[in-house]
Amino acid sequence: MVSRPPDERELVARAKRGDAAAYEDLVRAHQVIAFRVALVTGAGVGDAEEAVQDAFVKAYRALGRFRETSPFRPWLLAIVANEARNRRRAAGRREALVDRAAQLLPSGGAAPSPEAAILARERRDALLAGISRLRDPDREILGCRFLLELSEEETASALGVRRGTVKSRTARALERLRAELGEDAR
Amino acid sequence: MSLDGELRALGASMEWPEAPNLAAAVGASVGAMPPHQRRLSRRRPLVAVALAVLVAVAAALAVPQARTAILRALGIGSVHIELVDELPPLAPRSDLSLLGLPLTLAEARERFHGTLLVPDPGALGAPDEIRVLDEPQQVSYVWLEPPGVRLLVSVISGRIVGAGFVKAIGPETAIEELSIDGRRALWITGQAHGFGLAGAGGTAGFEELRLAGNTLLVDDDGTTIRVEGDLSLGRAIRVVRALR
Repeated sequence: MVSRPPDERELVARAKRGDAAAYEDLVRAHQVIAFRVALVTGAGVGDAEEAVQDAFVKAYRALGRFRETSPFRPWLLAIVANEARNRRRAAGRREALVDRAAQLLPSGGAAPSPEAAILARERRDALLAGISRLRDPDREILGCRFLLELSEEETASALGVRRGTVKSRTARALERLRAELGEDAR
Repeated sequence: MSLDGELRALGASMEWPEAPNLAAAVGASVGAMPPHQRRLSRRRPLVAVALAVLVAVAAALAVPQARTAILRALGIGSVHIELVDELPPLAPRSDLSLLGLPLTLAEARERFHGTLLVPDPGALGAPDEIRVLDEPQQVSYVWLEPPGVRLLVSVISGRIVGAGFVKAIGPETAIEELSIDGRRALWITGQAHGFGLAGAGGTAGFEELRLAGNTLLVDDDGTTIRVEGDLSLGRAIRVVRALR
């Protein structure tokens, strides 16, 4: 996971005062997770960079409204996800997360990472196929909560829903995925 | 392994594309911007908001087609949605004159081009006021809850050329596209939003009346229905269905 700078609150305060260098530090700290959230919430690989860059600029402009006592990352991810979704709508794209995810999986000839070794390729393919048959909201919530391992708070923020909704949607999305996989609830 | 555990393992096994280093590019973009602690002048919020809208509209017109496609994608009925970066501090107002003149239902029907959708009083209760704007054509049904407005339902006629509504939305707002009984709809939640009129002649008035709640926009075959208030999506859909 992406580490968070220990002095994030100070960086935000300095950025609010117009310190661009402090804001650059915030960008460095969060750009990786921001990029992946953009991918999961709708931007194609080609659009994700632009979506994230625009999101960082918009977040900077909106910093005046950001409460420094709140964590920066969920607030930022909401802006990133909004940018990504807008691009998806703009392009009329309905590219499934699984299609993007499939591009991101190690090729057959690559040495599998330790994590990849845990899941047999056949099972991975089945999971991806199951996910591909889910609706966008289900894919997004499973993508945020599990593929990216965002917290409930971060997922709620990125998807623009309440935390309670994240819990219920996650449970329902898992149920539907089990159904797609032809498995009973465990 | 549980299913969620398997999904975590799947995520961990992905070779995500390397995230670009955006720090320098973002730093260059924001370096010339002013600090953020300046607030909009309390004395001239209308001007500030109108300028924000005009700047945003001008920017949209100036940018390549790919960007304006966003606007086309989000436009619904006669309401055009414009994304802006800054919204003024929320100040719900109860100056209903911004919604036009208070008229009777019969007068509103007479002025409205086409068939006017009317709320079913059995489902929603009679509105406290009916207000009519001529340009653009809009009839608003207002349910009051002193000191403010509880529910605002507007029916906007046709597609406006040259001047229209602009919905200014901050970066924390979420927009969800829906279909309600076969009609295209947008459900806007999150941060409070303003909306207003951007004039074609370079003047802009901004409708100050805005609620802290959510908005549902429905394209009803050329007529736009706007439901605004502190209400859930389910409730907003029931309101739309109660228009006859």
